[in-house]
Formats: sequence, structure tokens, C-alpha cells
Amino acid sequence: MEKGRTGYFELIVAGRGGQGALTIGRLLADAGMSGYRHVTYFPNYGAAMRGGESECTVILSDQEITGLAMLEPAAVILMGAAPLEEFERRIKPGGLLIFDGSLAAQKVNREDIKVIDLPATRIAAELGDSRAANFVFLGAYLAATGAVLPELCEEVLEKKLRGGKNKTLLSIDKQALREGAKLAGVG
Amino acid sequence: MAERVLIDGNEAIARGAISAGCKHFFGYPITPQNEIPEFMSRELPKIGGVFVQSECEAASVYMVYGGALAGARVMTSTASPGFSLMQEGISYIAEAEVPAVIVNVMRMGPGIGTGGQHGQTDYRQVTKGGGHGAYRCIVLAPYSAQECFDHMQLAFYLADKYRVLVLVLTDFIIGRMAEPVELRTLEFDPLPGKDWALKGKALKDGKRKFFVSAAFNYGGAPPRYYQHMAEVYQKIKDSEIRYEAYREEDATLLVVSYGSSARMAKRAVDMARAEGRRAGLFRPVTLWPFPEEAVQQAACRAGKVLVVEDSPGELVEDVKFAVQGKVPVHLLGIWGRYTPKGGIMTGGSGIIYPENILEEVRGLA
Repeated sequence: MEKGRTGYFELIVAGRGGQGALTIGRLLADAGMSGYRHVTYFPNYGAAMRGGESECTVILSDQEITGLAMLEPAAVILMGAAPLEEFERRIKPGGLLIFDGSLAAQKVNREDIKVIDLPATRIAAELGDSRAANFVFLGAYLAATGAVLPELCEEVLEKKLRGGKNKTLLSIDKQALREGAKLAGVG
Repeated sequence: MAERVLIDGNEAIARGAISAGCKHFFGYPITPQNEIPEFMSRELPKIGGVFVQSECEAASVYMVYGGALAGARVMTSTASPGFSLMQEGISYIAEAEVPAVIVNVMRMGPGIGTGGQHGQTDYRQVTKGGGHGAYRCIVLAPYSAQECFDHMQLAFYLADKYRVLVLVLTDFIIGRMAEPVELRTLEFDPLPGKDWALKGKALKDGKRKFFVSAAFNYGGAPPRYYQHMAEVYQKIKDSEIRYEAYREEDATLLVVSYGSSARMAKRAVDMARAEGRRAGLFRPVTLWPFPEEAVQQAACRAGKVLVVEDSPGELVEDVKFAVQGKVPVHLLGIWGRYTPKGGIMTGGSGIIYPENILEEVRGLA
């Protein structure tokens, strides 16, 4: 049994096309395959390849997953300038919001949810590639919830990025994952 | 145990078809089903099959017709506007009584569609037949990636068994949602040989085979063709109706829903039960033949029905017809979608979430 695992996790990752919201959602789902009987990964995106709205819902569960999307999620990762108000309102009481406060126009007002404010883009840029910001977010989520071990995500990532050209990217992605976990304050 | 992989409904459709022995795919690209031809174009050549990207859907469907006449397991897949283009060919295939499988991964709206990618607005067209001539097609509506995989095997079996077209109806949500799929091969009863198939120039019983469109073959007045087809359709109705009943034995509200909406409705039923509300779900798996009797019985037991579909109201017509006015039938349709505020995020056009269905259930049970 993994640290903090309770047998059911749900997460919405929202961003803009190109930020990698779907990439980390799918990665979490792939990694979840080894520990959970049931997994759903539902990507919801517009027609635009880049810059358009992009969102995915991941559920990891030991029981049958009846729904596949929810109005009120237990956890949300908001990438970039995704609409904070919309998702802040929807999170379940006691839920988790991970976002980049340095990019958001408003402040979080809810006091009944756990908030992790993470300058993910800046951290990723410092590691060598701002495009790895999504992995900073994922690292923070994994550390805060224990849904799957970061090592499992790294394994999946290594399989996906197998091949010469991506070695630097893989290394930065893995560092970003670790850095996110550290900064979440529980990793 | 069979291999378990995380794949989306579209890939599950493609893999299911291949596991059913389909080696011939003819199609034209359209969102949200492109993962099917993409997979087929990559995998079919490896197993000695044929993938053809046609010039349009009207051509794909006639390639399917030709392949089916030759006795091969053939298919195409498309989305709503492409499915409309196929109607003429579908009607011809139905007339000729050759087996084939067509997948429609619906997208919302008439014409080119209305922007949002998900929606269940082809129910009436797919179940009632968009082509001419009062034919019927078996319609299967999977609601999970596993069912996409399994239903493709079932679809090819049923098509061969009755020599009819089988339509598999999914949508953006079922097509693109990834879930673990057990790549299992289903067992079916043996099928009769395809002695009707046109294969090369071979003679049969000393005679050259000559294929004439079925309806002309029957003659008679009233046309014996329809009498013959009525018998075929009756056999299908007698043995092939499939549905899932979930927590409905003691329900006081019966939720009826199919495909992606049934996933949301199933969750809503669980949420309602957790509040002590006796809701149950009835999910037609075959949309034609429609499980009329089973719906009526379950509806009468519950006393009240709520239809949930991501459409202005099409399934609700079949439910009302089945229930025959015996109990009230309510509809939570496309207007039941939650629309995000303060941005253009979350798909823009909204989704009917389980919470939206629960709200409706609270008002009724």
C-alpha cells in the first residue's frame, strides 16, 4: 500500500493547449494502472491544437468507476491562467487546489480547501525548460495526495520518452517532478 | 488472463474489430473518431489486411458493401456528418442483406456540428435509419472502453448471424476516454458458411453465381421481401435484446440512459442511494432492438421515469413509446448541461455531470 493511499482519487487538470495538462493526466492514469483495478482518463479539449481550452479528468479507484467526470472534484491542478474562480468554486470541501499564484489575477478565497500555490513555470525555467511546468504541478499533486509513487510516473515517462533526442527533456521532467514534490511541503 | 491495457474507446473499437477477424477497413478522417483509422492504417498492413482512405464517406460505405459481398469481415467508422453521407450505401447494404459493421462516434449538432465535440444527437437517425426503404440495423451502444472492445466482436458475430448491418454508436466521451481494457477473445456460437458470397468466378452447383439485389429477388404482392425481412427482424428482437439494470429492483425512480450519459447517470444513482433516495438505472445496450418490454416493466415497478441523454430528446421518444403512458416520463436533456462560468474553459459547451442528474433526481425521488 502506498503512502496515503485510500483507494480512490479524482483530479481535474486544466490548462491551455500546449501546456501539457493532458500529458500529465494521461501519465498519472498510466502510472495508476499498476496499483488500481479501475482507472479513467477523460480528455476534454476544443478544436484548437494550441492555446485552446484543454482539460482532463483522471480517476483512480479500487471500485468500479461509474462516472467519468464530475462537477465537484476532490482535486484540481490549474495551469497558467486557467479561470481560477470557476474551479475554486467547484472543488469539494476539504479538497485540494494546486495553482500558480504568480500567474493568477485573483486570490483564492475559500478556506475549506487545501491550497498549494506553486510558481511552476518559474521553477521549470530555472531547471532548464519552462515547458516542464506541468511536471512540477504533478509532483506537487503526488506528494500531497500519495495517489501513486513518483517513481511509477518516472518509469512511465522513461518508456514514453525512450530514444536519444529526449534525454535532456526526460531529465528536466524528472527533476521538475521531484522539485514539485519538495515544494508541496510534504514530499 | 488476457492482457490489460489502458486505451481509449476508439482504439478499443479498432482492436476489437481486429480481434473479431476484421482485416479490411475503408474510411475517411473526421473528428472525433480519427484514432480508429489511425490504428487500422498502422496495424492492418502488418496482418495482411487492407486499409483504404477513401475520397469521402460515400465512397467508404460502398467499399464496405463490396467487401461484404465478397464475404469478408469489413467495417468503416465515421462521425455524424460522415454518417449522413453514408445513408444511401447503408440502405443498399441493408437491401442486399450482406453483413458489415459501421461505427458512428457522434459529435453534437446537425450540419458540420456546433463546436462542442461531445453530444448524443444522432440517436434518432441511427436507430430509425437515415436511409430510405424501411430497413433495420442492429444498434449497439457501448458505455466503456471494455464494451467498445467486446461489442465490436459481438457486432461482427451478429452481422454474420443475421446478415444485417450492425451499427456501433459511441460519442466523443466514450471514444476518447481511456480505461483499462482486457484484450479478451469472446466465444460465440458457430456461424453458417457464407455460401452466398461472391468469390472470384467459381461456379456453384454447376451454375455461375449471379447476385441480384434482394428486394427484387422476392417479388410477390404484397412484396414478399418485407415479409422475409420482418421475420429476420423478429428473430433479432426475440434473441438479441440487451440491457443493463442497475439498482432498480426497489427503485421508486427509474433513470433511463445510454452510452456516455449512462456513465454519468450511474454515478448519480449511487449518489442518490447514498442519500437514501431509491433511484435505479436502466441502460439499453441494444438501441435497436429497443428493450421495450423490459423498460415498461421496470418503469411500472418504479412508477416514475427520468430519461437522461445529451440531446434535445430522442431516446425519450422510445422510452415514452415503451411505457405507453402508464407512468410519467421526464427528460433531462442537453439543457441539463452544466455551463462553466467566468471563462471559456471546460469545453465551453458544458457537460451533464452526475451532480446535475442528482439534482433532477432529488426533485423526483
